[in-house]
Amino acid sequence: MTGQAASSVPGGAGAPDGGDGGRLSELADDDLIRRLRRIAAEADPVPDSLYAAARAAFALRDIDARIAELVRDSAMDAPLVAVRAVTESDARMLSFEASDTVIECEVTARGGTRDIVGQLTGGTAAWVAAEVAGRPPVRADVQAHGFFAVRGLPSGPLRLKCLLADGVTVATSWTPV
Amino acid sequence: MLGPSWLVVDDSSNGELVAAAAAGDQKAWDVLVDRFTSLLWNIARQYRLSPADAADVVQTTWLRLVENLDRIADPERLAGWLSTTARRECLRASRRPDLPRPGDDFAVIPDDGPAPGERLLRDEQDAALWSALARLGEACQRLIRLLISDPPPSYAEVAIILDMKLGSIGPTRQRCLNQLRKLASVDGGLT
Repeated sequence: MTGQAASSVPGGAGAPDGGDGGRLSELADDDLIRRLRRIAAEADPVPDSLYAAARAAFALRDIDARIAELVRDSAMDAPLVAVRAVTESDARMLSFEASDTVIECEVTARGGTRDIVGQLTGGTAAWVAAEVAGRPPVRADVQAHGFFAVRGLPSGPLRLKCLLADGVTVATSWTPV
Repeated sequence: MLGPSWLVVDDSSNGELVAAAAAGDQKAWDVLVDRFTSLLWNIARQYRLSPADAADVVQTTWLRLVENLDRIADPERLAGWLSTTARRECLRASRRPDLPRPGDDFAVIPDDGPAPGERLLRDEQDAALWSALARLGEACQRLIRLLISDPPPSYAEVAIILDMKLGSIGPTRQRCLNQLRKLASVDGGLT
């Protein structure tokens, strides 16, 4: 019964918008819900580009990649309420793990762009590809000790991908930066 | 092998759609997107995020589902999985060091669109209702914003998303709407 009950739910989207202009006290609950739905579509609509981006997300599926899950995000360690200014030096540490492979990176915001300095451990790779959803991936060479750097990425959901020497592709879980 | 895409229709169950999408069916994916994007938007907009950050959260939620299509244990609880993922990402976004947050006196809010309700509503009663919705208690706001998603979730999904008893949704909705009427009437001088 879940998922497809839109038309059977009281106040469902299928019913006509009714009751506008009448007294609020006489507006039935279902009509009020429908009216609020119409107002929301006017005052705070879902951007059309979001539907397009959500559909396009499907093409970014990589069924062969092993997912490195986000295991630590310094943003989640920070106090929620803090009176502070946003400065150039604000950096965020992210750690991703796929079994033995660990990708750690420091994300620095510079206006609308992001710089990433990271390290790959528990595996070797020639390059890391940084991909912001909807943009072509940007490759960076992996240096000694697994270090890599990517600069000037646009902000948005990001994943890092690399092909390990043993033939396994590792992709980090999508994370907005 | 799963059915061909012409078998996927707008009223297929979430389980059928997830299975078809996992088998590579873009049409099934699109139906899921149409079914839940408004719901996720309404969840994300309850947090103090700019429209651009809310859109990032919703897009990330879909990307996470793409990543986990083979691992969704109970597709009939998909609405719960999506909303949990979205809320976690909202929390993350609201704590990111590079984003302004309430209390940041010096932060410059990126000018990427109007805040909720700032887009002009010409009808006076509409404006009073919209403003009243933003002043409802948190629990009521959560419920009403879910219910005004387009398409709205089923009550079973609302129960999962908000961790409520199925039988309490109807009475709670009634109580919240009565509060909303009162707030809008006082505010807008309407009756």
